[in-house]
Amino acid sequence: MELKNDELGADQIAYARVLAVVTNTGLAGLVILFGIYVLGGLDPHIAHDRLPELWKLPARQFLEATGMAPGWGWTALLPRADILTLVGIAALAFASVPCLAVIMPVYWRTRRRALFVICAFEIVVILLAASGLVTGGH
Amino acid sequence: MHTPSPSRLLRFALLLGLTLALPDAFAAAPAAAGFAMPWWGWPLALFAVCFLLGIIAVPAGVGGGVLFVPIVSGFFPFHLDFVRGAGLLVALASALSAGPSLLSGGYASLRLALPLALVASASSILGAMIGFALPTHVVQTALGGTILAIVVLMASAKKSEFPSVPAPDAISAALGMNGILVEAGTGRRVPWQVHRTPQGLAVFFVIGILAGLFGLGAGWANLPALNLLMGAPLKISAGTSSFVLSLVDSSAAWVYLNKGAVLPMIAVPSVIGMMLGAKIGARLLKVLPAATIRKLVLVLLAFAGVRALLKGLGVWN
Repeated sequence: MELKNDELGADQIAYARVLAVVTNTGLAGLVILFGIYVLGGLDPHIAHDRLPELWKLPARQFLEATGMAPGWGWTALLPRADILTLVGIAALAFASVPCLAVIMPVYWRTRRRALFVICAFEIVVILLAASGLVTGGH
Repeated sequence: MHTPSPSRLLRFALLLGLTLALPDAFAAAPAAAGFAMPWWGWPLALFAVCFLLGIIAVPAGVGGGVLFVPIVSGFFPFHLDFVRGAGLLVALASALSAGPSLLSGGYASLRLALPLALVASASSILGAMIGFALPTHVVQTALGGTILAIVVLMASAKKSEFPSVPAPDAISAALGMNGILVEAGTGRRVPWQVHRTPQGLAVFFVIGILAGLFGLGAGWANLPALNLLMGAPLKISAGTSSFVLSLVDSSAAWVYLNKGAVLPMIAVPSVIGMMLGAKIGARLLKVLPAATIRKLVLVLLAFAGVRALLKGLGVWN
């Protein structure tokens, strides 16, 4: 026996639906992009045989050794195959944002203002982290 | 009920041990014999290890992230920065893919998760920044100490199916942090509520720092905090614990992306291997002896914790 939709709440149902679509799309995209990278469908920024000498380095030295900039600097190297794979990873790290955005109107309509504000702050936290402004990424 | 024989368990443990030991042996080989594993050997070995970890993580009742970071950082040649970044993505991808069914099945509570996730995702950014500011050997040593503490916590922590919550606190009542759980066997509908929300928020602040700092995922800490401290039923605690990670690890993952600590050749085979392994593990749930596997995982974690500690202290490099 399962819970009825009104017992779960419109917010939870809406979040689950959007999360399923975003996650499945993101994971499928990640696998396809990684397949292109591994099978050599596009040239990578870092040649495969250089990886063993580079993955031993701390992230900062890795960026220097590969000529990549921190923050969103990697987007300048698109559409290299390894960089394209980062797009798939970034999509997963953004997956929660549309889910939160979808339930905010539900909370607004039902006058759950505290939950509305919590969702807004959660989006701000993820966007701030992504921007690199608070983390020294730029 | 089918019980695997000791010899089968021994073979399984041996296979896992060999899989973990081989990368270490190959890492040491170049200096000794002038032989180096081809570049593709490492991602392949990583995929195989993550696949096995995914299989045992489900019956052991632990998240893949907590197994991934100490084991991969201890036995693979990758820098800890990349391992922590991949560990976060492993935990994030697992939490995201489990989220829809947990929410729509009523095993995770969105309103219970949101306030805790907000605090933990903000502090996970702080944790990740601390991790990049500290020298690697300090992070490695702290990781070893934390893993050993997790082993003690997992071995000793009690669980409560339906904790007694006489009355909700003001915050949980205002935010609607309550619901109904349907018991699987009887179909009985059990209303639940939580208390001690301020203490829960404080604990989740610390959990977020640890998640961001080590890239561990944090189900091992979320579950007792939700169940024993706040009084959520065990099933709701387990589901919500997993769901919270999907938000907490999102913000921390961005710090690692911004710092250049996400290498697709490490992160993606780990994610795919762990998720495929977890699917197999879920199917084998009725066949594998969960209690024995859990003991095996605790021994494995303790070994990886000691390895991380000694590596950080420069005793065993």
